[in-house]
Amino acid sequence: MYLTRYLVRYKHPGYEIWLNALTGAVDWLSREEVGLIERTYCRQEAPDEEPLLTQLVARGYLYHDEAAEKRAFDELVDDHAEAGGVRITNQIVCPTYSCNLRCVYCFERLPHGDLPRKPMDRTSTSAALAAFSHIRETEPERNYSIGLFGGEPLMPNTRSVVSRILADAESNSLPVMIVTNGFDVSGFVPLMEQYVSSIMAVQITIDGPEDVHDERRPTAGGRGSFKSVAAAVDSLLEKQIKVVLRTNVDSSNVGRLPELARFAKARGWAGNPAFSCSLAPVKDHLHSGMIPNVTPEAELLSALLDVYDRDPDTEDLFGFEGFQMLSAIGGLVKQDQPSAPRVYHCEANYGGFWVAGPDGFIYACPESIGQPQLAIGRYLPELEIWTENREKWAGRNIRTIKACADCQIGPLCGGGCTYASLNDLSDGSRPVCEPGLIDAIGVFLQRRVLRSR
Amino acid sequence: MKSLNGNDALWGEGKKDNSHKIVGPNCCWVIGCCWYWYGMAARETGKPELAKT
Repeated sequence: MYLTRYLVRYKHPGYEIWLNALTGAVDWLSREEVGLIERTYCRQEAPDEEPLLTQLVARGYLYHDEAAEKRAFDELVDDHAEAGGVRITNQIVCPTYSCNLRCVYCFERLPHGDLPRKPMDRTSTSAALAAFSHIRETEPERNYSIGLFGGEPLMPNTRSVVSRILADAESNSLPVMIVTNGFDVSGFVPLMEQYVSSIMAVQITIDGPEDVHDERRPTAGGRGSFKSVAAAVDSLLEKQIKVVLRTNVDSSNVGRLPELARFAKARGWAGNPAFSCSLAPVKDHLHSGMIPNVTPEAELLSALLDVYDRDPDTEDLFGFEGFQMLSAIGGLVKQDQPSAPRVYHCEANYGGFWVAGPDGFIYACPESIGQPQLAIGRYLPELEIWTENREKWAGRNIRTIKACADCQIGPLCGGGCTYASLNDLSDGSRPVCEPGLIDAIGVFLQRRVLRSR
Repeated sequence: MKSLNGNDALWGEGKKDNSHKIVGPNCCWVIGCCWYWYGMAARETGKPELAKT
């Protein structure tokens, strides 16, 4: 028998936790059982009727040979890469690349300096919406949503563009997700009220209590933004518009999360059915070194668990959803959501993003906006889709990246960020490995899964 | 050997309705938009437990 390469072993005194990235199995094994497996089962030709051996085969730890494991891998990739067709396809409009905040970790200023500041106008908005309509007709089997992104999409000079996009979404029965920093949202609430049935949620970022948030997310003029943003959350919830509160987290603000949780409770947000919040670890996908306090995931998770241990209410509010791999594993062990492997890294890898920038280009990823060399088409002066460029994103999965097909956590990681791969390595065919992921899983399993059993 | 998986063991196992394929763990653009899509999956599959809210 052949012990799968997709096995991650966490060794502890007297026992091991085994995680099988290929099948999703998570198991506790005694040292005696591990010894038996290593000494005997791995050397057998075929399984006998012994219960442990049968269980190991059923859970995909042991295969008859390497070829059988390869067939299981191919089946997994075929099944889930194909599933992209039924997943969500986000058609995102960036009305402008300008922003009224100067967040310390903003990725949009990194690779290209200042982006073009001219917002979309009537002509470009019409062209972008027509392009998206054409794409929906071309691939009608998908589930589409409309997104607003930027820059900051909700500013006084984007109002007419936003109004047209919301009207277009409603007329096409498409749900809308708005990603905003919240600073100017209050002025948009009456407009949003008109389209409340189309807006599935508004994502607003608050990074901690007021002093933390204001230091990380100041206005262009250097003032704090916290009060305006908090008022925006109030306004939206008052109108029963769903708010997803995002907190970008790193080593410098993780310890202040309980204060934000208490603020959310005192303000009446926590417990409101229209309110949810989630963490997003701050990343530096370009390895620019220009984003402060980027924290390895295992280190950040460990610090977060310390916070959660001291303050369980904070864990109830924020959870682990923003840690993508842990979210997948959490689904396996808790079954509070459908769980699926990550045969690719993100929506971009099944063609799940069409991002129209004010520069007239269409991008495959919201993080790649403003870089025409990474565009997958353009909608001005007329619609063009550049298939060869699109396939660099949409065809990328753990089977097309040889190193990922052989990696023990390939089906959990998905190959890493395509944007980073295209920037760092030019053709996207190599993996982007984030250090510490295996350790982070071990920390999570030990401190959250085992503790509750 | 004891399984630490939840009731519905392996990747997508037991979900013959493919609901696990509608929303996966690969979302990264907006955390939480799965609210809407889980709700849709719940309606389409008749499985209210998929509606996370």
